[in-house]
Amino acid sequence: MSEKPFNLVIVGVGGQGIITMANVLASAAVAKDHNAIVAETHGLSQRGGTVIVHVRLGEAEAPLIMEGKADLLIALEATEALRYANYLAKGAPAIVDSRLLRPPLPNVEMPSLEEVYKALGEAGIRVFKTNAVEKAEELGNPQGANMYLLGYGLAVNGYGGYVDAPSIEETIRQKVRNPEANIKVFRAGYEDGLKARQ
Amino acid sequence: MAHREVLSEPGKRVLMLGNVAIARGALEYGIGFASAYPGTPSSEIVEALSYAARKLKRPYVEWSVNEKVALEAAYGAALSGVASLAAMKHVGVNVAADPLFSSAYTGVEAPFVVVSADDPGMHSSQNEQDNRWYGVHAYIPVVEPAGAQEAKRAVIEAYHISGKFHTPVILRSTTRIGHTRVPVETGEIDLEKLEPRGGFRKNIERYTLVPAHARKLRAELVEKWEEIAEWFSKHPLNEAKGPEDSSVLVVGVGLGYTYAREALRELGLDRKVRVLKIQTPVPLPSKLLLREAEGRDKVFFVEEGEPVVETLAKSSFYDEGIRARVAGKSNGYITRVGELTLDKVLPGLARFLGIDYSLPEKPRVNLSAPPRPPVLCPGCPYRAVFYALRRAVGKARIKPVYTGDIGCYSLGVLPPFEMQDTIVEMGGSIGLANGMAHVAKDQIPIAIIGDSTFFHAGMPGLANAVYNKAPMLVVVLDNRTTAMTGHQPHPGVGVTAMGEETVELDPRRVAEAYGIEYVALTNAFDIKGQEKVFYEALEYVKKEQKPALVVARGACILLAIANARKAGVRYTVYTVDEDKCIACGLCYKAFNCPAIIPKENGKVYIDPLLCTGCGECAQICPVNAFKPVEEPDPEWIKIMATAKPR
Repeated sequence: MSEKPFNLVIVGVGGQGIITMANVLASAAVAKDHNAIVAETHGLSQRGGTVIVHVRLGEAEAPLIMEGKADLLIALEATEALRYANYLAKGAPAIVDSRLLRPPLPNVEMPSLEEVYKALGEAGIRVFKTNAVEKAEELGNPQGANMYLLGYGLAVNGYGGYVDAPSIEETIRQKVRNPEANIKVFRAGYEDGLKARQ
Repeated sequence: MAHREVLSEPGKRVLMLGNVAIARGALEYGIGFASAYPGTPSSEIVEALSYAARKLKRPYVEWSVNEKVALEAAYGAALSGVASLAAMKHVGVNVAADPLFSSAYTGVEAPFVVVSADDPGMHSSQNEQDNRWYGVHAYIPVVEPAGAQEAKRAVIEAYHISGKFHTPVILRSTTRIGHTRVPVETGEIDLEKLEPRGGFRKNIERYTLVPAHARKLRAELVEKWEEIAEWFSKHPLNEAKGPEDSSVLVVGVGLGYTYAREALRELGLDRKVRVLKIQTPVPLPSKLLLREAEGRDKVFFVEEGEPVVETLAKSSFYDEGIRARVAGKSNGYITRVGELTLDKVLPGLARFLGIDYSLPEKPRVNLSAPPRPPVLCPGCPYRAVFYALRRAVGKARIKPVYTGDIGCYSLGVLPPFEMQDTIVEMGGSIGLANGMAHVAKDQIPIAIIGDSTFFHAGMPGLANAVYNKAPMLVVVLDNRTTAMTGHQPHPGVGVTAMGEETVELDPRRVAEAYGIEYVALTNAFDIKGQEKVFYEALEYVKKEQKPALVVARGACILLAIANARKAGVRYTVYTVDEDKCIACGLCYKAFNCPAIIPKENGKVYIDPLLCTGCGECAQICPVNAFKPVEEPDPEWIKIMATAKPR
């Protein structure tokens, strides 16, 4: 155990490109000769249901992150951050996108975005608020919200130093459809993340 | 999904799913035959092998009609001298249990591995069974990798064990092995070894299990079991680490080993406590366990699923007079419910060792997330079927029992439909209806079953319904694919796992051949049209007291979109005419398409990112407020009816 593992949980709703996002990050770490473990959600649970993917970089062995031990949480849907905030370690940040997806069930009580951010803040979590879908759309790539947030996360706490921007961009080139368009949103996310950190 | 990384060049370190690593291991060993019925969390194994077979023209790979046939087919290949693999989810092994037990008695000519993908935590399953018990029950050795990182090596070792002892071997995987991605070091694939070429050599005394032969084989089996246990006690898949003089032994079985190691690290004991990794749990490598447990005060077991090794080891310890205190899942130190996590292992281990430990502090958020179960996708044809069927039932004034089944349509259990009164197992819709039809006299069973599920286990139940005159309506939801598990082909769509054209079996012709008199086909996207057919069919069942069958056909919308993209055809999204919308709520209270989103004033809008252009909403709106943005392409309408997997 030379390298302390970096623990990331990525959460959202089935179909948001979370597995691709986790995959790019882990492949970039592997390309830099580090270890990576990604525990995914497949099958029934993917059909528009809640999704959590555990990404562990460095010398981790077990696939699942313990509650209270994640170094970062990225939520591609805001209310999903409420469901999985308990994974965060004390003082660890969360990147919570402004997208709200109402579960398609009759009579669901949906909290507002303000309420979500307020509740997370009151729990002592440092929340980075993003508008990934809008940003990706502005750059002509409405499906690129996941890559935007991947870039944003790199800026916020560097994924433990196991990857860097060039290694992620190279992985996007190899693994993702429309690589150049996705690299563009990845960079935009990175820039916005750097600004938000200051 | 193609899982192209299964054919990565040798000598690389490639990120791949545990299931793909299992497929890669089978290729590196050199199998000539693989079969499966898809089921989460096992499907990607044979998906990856199917990809390899299309590229390399070998090994032979098939999607079988169900797990029993998959296991029999691979067993038959192994009896004919070709190394083979059969993969299935844990409950699939129940379907295949009959030939599985026999395979232990006859043994095999060539190595034969059955992959059982268990689903602790029930992410996509109806139960939490631990199939290592099948190994104990059927006298079949079990190999269980310590995580996805060991999956490739474990499957190769499983083949060597099978070859050495001429026995089938169960490779027990779990969700967090098969669906976890790790870097895997690739080895060579020898194309020669993948050739599916063999021959059956007659051996009546071994391969015909008449009582006289089976009695001899039973004695042989029990003897062989001891030999294998002996061999496992020396097997390099099992390994002890840490100080010899430790008063505590922690046994990590399969994936449990990774949690055991991390738990010890959290407690600062990783260099102080002896740890035994077990990857061959059945038959119990008892000599190894006895040797490692002897003289220690405490032994703690960490395993995914049931306390299988723990229970077997306790019995062994008792026989040999080992007095160590034993803990794990058999006595509540780790819960038996759900999948393993460090949160479950750590407090149990700490308590057993008498260490003060409290779980890490977690943020407390005073606002709950809304419930978000999986739902039918926007554009799913099944939503239209449920909607039309419910209207037909109301019109026919019958009391229905909706016996449901396993597939995407299981999601019809949720509001607003709640049209799955039972969901128990593959084929259970028609099966249970066979009993209800004879006793619940003032109700009519409506068995709702998918296309792939119909071929899997629906047909015997249907034959039974005809034979025993059980009145029921069988609705076959034919979306042209095994959708839930990732769009595999099945006998109804005319494509094999090798990508070859083949015949299309039609459930209607099956029903006709069985002698069902009322058989109909509907367009699953056409709400009014199928409402009429369902009504007629229900009237028939009510009046004639005989079974009727309706096939509601319309492609899984995700498959249709994929087919359309390939053909260069675009679909048109729908939009809402604000002035027409009367805020009645029918579309989001009774129909519930995820793309239709209610606003504060009760009117709705359609999320263009979610809309798939199915046109179902335009059929249910009482004031015609939904309109396509442009005239739908007739080619798209055609693809919605005919799309199929490749």
